[in-house]
Amino acid sequence: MHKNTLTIKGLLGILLIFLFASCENDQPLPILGEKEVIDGVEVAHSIPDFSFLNQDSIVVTNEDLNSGIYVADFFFTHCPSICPLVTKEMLRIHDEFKNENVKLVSFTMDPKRDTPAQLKNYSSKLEVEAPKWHFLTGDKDKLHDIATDYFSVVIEDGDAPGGFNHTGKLLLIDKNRHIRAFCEGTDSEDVDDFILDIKKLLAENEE
Amino acid sequence: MRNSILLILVSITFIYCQNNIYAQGERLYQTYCSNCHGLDGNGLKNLYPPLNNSDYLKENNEKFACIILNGLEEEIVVNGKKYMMPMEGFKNLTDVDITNIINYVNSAWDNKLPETSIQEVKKNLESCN
Repeated sequence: MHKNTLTIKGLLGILLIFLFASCENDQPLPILGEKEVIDGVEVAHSIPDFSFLNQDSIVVTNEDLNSGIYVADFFFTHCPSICPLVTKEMLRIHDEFKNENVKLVSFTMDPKRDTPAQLKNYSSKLEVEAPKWHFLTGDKDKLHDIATDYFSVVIEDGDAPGGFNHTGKLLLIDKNRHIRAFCEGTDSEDVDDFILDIKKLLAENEE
Repeated sequence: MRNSILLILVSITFIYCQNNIYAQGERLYQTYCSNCHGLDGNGLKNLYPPLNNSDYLKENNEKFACIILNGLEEEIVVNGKKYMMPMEGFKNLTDVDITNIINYVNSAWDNKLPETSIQEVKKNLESCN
């Protein structure tokens, strides 16, 4: 009798865990970042206005990206360390969502060397084009500042490979400028989960 | 029975060691080269050239040591495709490290390029030091 009760309790426990897991799955992606209090009202973190040039020397602002969702990363073309790995994963996302309303945006942290012409060269070697995948350049301080808004760290450091210390995160941004998911762009398995998050956000937009 | 088990164990170890003769080179490759050239040696699109089945590497194997040490700025043609992303050199690598990397790459994946020696690498490095 006692044993039976234990078994039933155990089964119920397992059932609960399953229910909880499936319930978790149906939750929309969270809005990430520190909330700010403006005029006594809590405001969720969002990407501020920006204006940079892409590889075709066309001005790209936040407005140009908010018709759908986009994935952002920070890189530079001379980067000998983690950027090629991150770019490879960005390319995987590009190919996976070729026909969906998902854009990709790569901000350079090295605008001195990454002119629009250099970015054009890089993107055509990668066989990708704007407006599906923008490579953005502009004022260095503005680029480094906006990295913070994308939870990314860029530090100029002559001793670092290529001249910059930086993180290799991929960020998922929704139509309302909110960051909804991120992953490590150097970790293929983490990117697998991130791709599922992108699908989830796409589904949310279709509702 | 016991002898045959021993024989199998020795064979397995032998085969395992045969496959890992350039383990040191493989480790260095994963640290310094694979981010761009890939763990599979196939490079990335038209940005980073392949090292696997590369006609450039086959025809310029004597330049391999200098390229690892000093990098490469000039445009090169690999298997009919132009590549022009500059490669940074790795000045911190020793002659032994460079020899190990060359021997790993020359025999990795589909490559069947000749083995090199530290003497040969030192000689090749004289042309660019």
